[in-house]
Amino acid sequence: MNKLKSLLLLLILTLVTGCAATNQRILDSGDETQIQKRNYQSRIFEISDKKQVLRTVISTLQDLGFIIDNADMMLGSVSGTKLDTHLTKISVSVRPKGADRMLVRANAQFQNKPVSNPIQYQNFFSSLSKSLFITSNADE
Amino acid sequence: MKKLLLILLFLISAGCAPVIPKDTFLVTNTQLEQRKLETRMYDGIEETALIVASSNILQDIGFTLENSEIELGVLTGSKDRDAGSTGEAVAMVLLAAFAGTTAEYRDSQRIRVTLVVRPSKASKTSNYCRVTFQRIVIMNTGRKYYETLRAPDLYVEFFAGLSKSVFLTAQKI
Repeated sequence: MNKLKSLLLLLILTLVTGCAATNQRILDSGDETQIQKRNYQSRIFEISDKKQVLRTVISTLQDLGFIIDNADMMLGSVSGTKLDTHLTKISVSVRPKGADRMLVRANAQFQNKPVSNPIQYQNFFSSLSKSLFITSNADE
Repeated sequence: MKKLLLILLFLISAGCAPVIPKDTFLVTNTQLEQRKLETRMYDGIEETALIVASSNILQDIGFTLENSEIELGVLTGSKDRDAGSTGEAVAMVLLAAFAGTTAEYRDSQRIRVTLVVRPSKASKTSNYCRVTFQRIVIMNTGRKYYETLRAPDLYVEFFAGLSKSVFLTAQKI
């Protein structure tokens, strides 16, 4: 009887932790706060032209090997998928910040996990800022 | 014994989860070469007309348009096709029977395409067109693999088709 009770307890415990894991995965609620995430996923660029930034986001994503799944000028969003041995997905939004600046935010997933390493986002913004510099200075 | 089991478990779990490559979001020289392959410049055609010609060629080669944003010059499409050949399947089945394993061969594939038109600063009627093809191949066992298509002739043939489409659009055919 005791064994049965222990087994039941174990089963309930497994189910409860299973539920918690489901919620955690749906909401991506880990150790990081929303502010921490926004911090490393965002960058402000000193450009007032939303269309230029969006077009540059698209060409940077293409340079990085992504296919553009969706682009919306009005919403200022671009999503892409990279199918190259592994599956990588990214969503980028471009929103005006004041009169002459743009806030670019990116969030990515690799296979079935969110990309939470800030260095990956730093790399993305560094690639984007190089392209922005090139597009505003030359015909590339 | 317990330690050995723990190490084994650790190795299995570490081996199962692929790690994101360090240069995923850095543009490499290989990718810049790929950009050349995937891009052509078209002169004497307005941006909108080039997007229309592009959507026509995508339809010509059997793609279903999934998304478009004309203001940003983006077209995305996909198509499902067989991935292998009967010869390949037969060969794999024979090989597997000989080795006593399960045969695995390519069954179907989803091919995805993105085409982006962007204006060049050279003139109002000069535009760049960049196209990228990728595919998901599904094996008979249900396993999938992902691939970016890099064969130069694929892009040469595509742009030859687009050039014809540009001509036909200009002639309103």
